[in-house]
Amino acid sequence: MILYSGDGKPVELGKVLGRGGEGVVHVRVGNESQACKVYAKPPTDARTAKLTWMVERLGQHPDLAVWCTWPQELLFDEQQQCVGFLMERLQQLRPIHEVYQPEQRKSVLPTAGWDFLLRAAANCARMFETLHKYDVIVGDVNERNIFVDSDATVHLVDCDSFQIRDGDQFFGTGVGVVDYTPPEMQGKDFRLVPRTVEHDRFGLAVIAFKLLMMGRHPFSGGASGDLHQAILNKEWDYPQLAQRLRHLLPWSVVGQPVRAAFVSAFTEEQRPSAATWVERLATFEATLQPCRREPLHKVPAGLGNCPWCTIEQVSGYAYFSRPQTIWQSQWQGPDALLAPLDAELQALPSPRQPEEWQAPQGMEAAIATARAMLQAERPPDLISWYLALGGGLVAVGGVTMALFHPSRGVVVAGAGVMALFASRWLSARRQVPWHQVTLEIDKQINEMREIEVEWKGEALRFRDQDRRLRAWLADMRVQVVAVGAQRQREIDKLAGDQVSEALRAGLLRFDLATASIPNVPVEKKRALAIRGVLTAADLDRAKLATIPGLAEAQVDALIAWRRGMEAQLTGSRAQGPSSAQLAAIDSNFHHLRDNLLAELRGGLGTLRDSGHLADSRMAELMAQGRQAALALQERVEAVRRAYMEH
Amino acid sequence: MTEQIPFAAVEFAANPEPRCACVLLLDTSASMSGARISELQEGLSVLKAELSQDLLARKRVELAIVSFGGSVRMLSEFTTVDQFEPPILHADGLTPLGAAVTTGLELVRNRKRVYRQNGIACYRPWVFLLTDGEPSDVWQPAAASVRHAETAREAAFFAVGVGEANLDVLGQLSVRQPLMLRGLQFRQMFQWLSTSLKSVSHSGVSDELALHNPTAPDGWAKL
Repeated sequence: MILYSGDGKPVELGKVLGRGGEGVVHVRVGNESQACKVYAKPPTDARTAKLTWMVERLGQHPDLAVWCTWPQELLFDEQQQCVGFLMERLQQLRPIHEVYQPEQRKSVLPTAGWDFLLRAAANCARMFETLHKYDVIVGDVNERNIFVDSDATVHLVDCDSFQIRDGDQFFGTGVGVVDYTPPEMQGKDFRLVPRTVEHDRFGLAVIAFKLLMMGRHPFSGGASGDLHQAILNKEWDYPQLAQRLRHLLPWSVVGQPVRAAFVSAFTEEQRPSAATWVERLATFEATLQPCRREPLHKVPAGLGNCPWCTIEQVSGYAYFSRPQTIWQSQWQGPDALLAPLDAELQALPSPRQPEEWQAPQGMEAAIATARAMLQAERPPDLISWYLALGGGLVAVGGVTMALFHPSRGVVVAGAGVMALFASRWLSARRQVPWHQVTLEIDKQINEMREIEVEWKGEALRFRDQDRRLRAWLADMRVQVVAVGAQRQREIDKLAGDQVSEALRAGLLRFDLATASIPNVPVEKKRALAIRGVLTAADLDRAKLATIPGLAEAQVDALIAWRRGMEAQLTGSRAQGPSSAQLAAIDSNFHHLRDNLLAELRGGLGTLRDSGHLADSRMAELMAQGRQAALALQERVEAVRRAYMEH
Repeated sequence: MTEQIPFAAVEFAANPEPRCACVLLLDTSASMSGARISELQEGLSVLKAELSQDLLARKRVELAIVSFGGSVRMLSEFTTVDQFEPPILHADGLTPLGAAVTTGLELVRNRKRVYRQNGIACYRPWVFLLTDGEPSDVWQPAAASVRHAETAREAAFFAVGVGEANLDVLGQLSVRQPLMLRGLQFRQMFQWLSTSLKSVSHSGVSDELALHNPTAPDGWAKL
């Protein structure tokens, strides 16, 4: 829906933030920090005049809107009819009753001590002081109009009900709540009797009292139990009540000036002003110190014993959390923890496969050259060849000579034959080293082949180790992830989300089919029955999680119903797990998961080391191969030089 | 003398809000079996759900449940809404209505005493009777107790009839006009009850009850 501001600018209404008796509050589309209050019925002329006055006054005194959702601009519909106004949108604030009520405060503001509550009271007074400065009266003071931020600042809503007087103009409030109404206004018609600043001061004092005195209404405890009667008759007897009820904060703990302000606010008609409250509360807050045992126990300086510790001892109730029980689960899913490890694992390459073998540079060439040389004919031996040639010629010459000089010829021929034999002998003798040369070269080639075999063997071994390490890491990872589920099971067990064995027999008697469980219609019950969920004894979260089409709210409703049945069986309601128990579970599982993660990290280290080892071993073998190839090359060269180049 | 500490103190230390006690007296006689009891059961869940939505009412309204079918049984002690679990109802036996009313008044009287001991302010307690039949016991003394409690402003008593309930008897029991449930509109009835309890627990403690008229054409009751 679109409305228009006074100068005709469109204002689009967004989602509904709240509904009240008077109308609906929407967020403003396009400006999330603003909200629009739209009245269910068009406001009366008087209301419109009041809003107009408020918007104009804001222009003169912008500080009015600092702690209030003061109307900032009027909103009109198409017919120029005023239908609401623009204001600041409050976010993340808590109604003051959640702050002054001890049990709720402990859960919503677990770190707030008494000093926080005093500060909130003083801030409340500061807010009233600002409004009273401009003759604005809150009128309808109550615990639903006041909101507290986590820094103890305080905000007021429902500002259109403020009472405003400006010269002849008077805009009333018309409503009120008995609890915050002073004696002189009790039973009066709020529409007829104008409020005064004194009335506001009474309401402010009640709010401050509730903040300081652990949520108690100052007049709570009157004989009739009726607040109207108690306020009307000024039955203000907290000091006596606190003597009788040992779980109440002793009156004497409150600083004397603050006590005096309360007494005067509740028993006189001239009440302390907002400014007085600001001054006295701030002065008192400055005297607070933590007690020796508990940091959240704030005690006025000079007090012997810590009153909060005493109350805990005598009544068994702790008004403030202990730091170790201030517990908000820090448990996180494993994803963030595993992501860097996963990335690291991914980045680690596996060692090379045997098939990836590549011969070292020059090796194959050296082998080929050597083989070629070995396969070639043995090179002829020139010395013995020349000797044989010479011997042959001499022998032929000697035979020829013997035709003329037989004696000389025989000698020469004999010498030639001798030389021939000598050449045979020499040739045979020179054959032996060559043979050895070929054997040695063969050996060198084989050694080089062995390097390849060894490389492939090592590759296989490292691959295998790598595979096993990675499988182990994957298993650890599964275990790390599973810790979350284990922790949840443990918590569920504590929270009674599982059926307790002791009660199982009793729970079997409660038939799901005839039970009436909100949000669980008959068809759902049939679907449950088909899967064997028939009685209260069958309802645990783990089991329900396996049933398709069951909404979370339905699971909750079923569990709540079962717990109701358990309460009937035992006559008492199981207490939920305490934050200490939950913290213990978290701590245990954090510990377990940390151990697993440490192992996982260790495993990654091993994997990395093994990879490095593989790399260096392979490189070493390659270097050996290259060396061997070089040696072979040199050998072949030497042989060639020795045998071929004559 | 060393003063004793009543065990209740912790609960009122933790939550010192003024209390509005409400006892539901539910007829679980045999004639309620079937749709009536299951609709009533559903209605209790509605009551809890509706009251839970109100941040103040859930700390202020205390519910107790008494059933009367065969005998008078305390199904749920007084507990604030945030702790309340609707009990399971079984329909069986006669209708000891008189005894149930006496029990209900006794309960609120005792509860008020506990409030007073612990210095807790309270709203006028509610006793809400629901029946579909004829009392099977002597109910006249109970009627006298109701009148006394109403005059002394000790409790507000409401009677609602279902089906064949004897409106004559209810009329003599209750100072207020008894109402007849339209059909089986338990859900609407409990919504009305929760809205009424919410407005009681927000208004000034002694404000006269300004309730929505349940007998309006779209309401859950008829006269």
